[in-house]
Amino acid sequence: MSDQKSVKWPDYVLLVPLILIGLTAFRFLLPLVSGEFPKCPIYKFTGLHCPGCGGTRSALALVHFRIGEAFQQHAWFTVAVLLGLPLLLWMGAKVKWPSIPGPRYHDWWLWAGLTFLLAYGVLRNIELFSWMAPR
Amino acid sequence: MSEWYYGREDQQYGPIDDASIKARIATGEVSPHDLVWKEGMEKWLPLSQVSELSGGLSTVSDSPYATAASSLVAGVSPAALPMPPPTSGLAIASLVCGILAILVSCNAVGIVFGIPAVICGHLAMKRLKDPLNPQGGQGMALAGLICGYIGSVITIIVVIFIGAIFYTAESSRGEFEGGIDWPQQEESADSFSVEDQ
Repeated sequence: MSDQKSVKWPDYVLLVPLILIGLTAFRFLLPLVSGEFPKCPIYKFTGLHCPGCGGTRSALALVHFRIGEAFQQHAWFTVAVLLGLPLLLWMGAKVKWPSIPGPRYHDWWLWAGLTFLLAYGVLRNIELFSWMAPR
Repeated sequence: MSEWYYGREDQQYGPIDDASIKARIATGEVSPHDLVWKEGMEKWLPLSQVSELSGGLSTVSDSPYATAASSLVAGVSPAALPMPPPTSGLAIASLVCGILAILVSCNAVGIVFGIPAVICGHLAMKRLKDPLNPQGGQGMALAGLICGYIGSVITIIVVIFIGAIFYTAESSRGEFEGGIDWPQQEESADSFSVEDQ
């Protein structure tokens, strides 16, 4: 059995450079297009903030390193980028070099992410948690 | 001599021969509820139901020693073993894309993630139905599918409404009260170009 091949990076580590490239492109390519974003029709017609509402504004603030504003516009996204990406890298590194300490990948990381996103999407529409709503 | 396969912790191992799998059963690396399969078997079965192998597990695997050995092996090796999971990766990819699709659906680009989420989800579901595949992930694939569809549908709605808004704005100028509130910094500046024309 060929168990002893050298261990490769797990595939999910690819997400890290992809998202970083995406954010970089977002920062430098956005000024080249119009710089206008139409108002979300869902918010316009229902008055509800959907789970992704504020994501673009958050990303824009983030790529200009305005962390506070990014957090206000979309807290989940900000936390996912600032904590999730290093975590992914760390988990990948642990697969590659099992001797280093660190968290291991579990499916429930993903489930937790989805649950938090959906819960965030609901809570931000409730008066009590309106600090989660984008401005 | 048979070539055995077994599934454990979402990974598939093998082929390994009779002696090897019996050795692994003895150490507890393959436990009674793990699925095993070899050429000629109709489907994957829990080890405890495979008579030609379960003989070896009667006493050893139930002992505390075997449990300890099992957890030791499980704690150290599965992530390090290079045998790639052929399908649960698809389910994971589906859910990741699905989450991203929901996240960006309002920006009219949700479909960029929605379509891969749906494709990966369907592929994962299809492959997970294969009886030769001992992996899990149906729930995750389903969640990815649903998120992908929701993200795609929202994107389509957004695109249609934006199109309608701009069309209305073109045909009856003045009624359209700037559907643009962004970027914030330049709000008062020249961002209402539709009206300015």
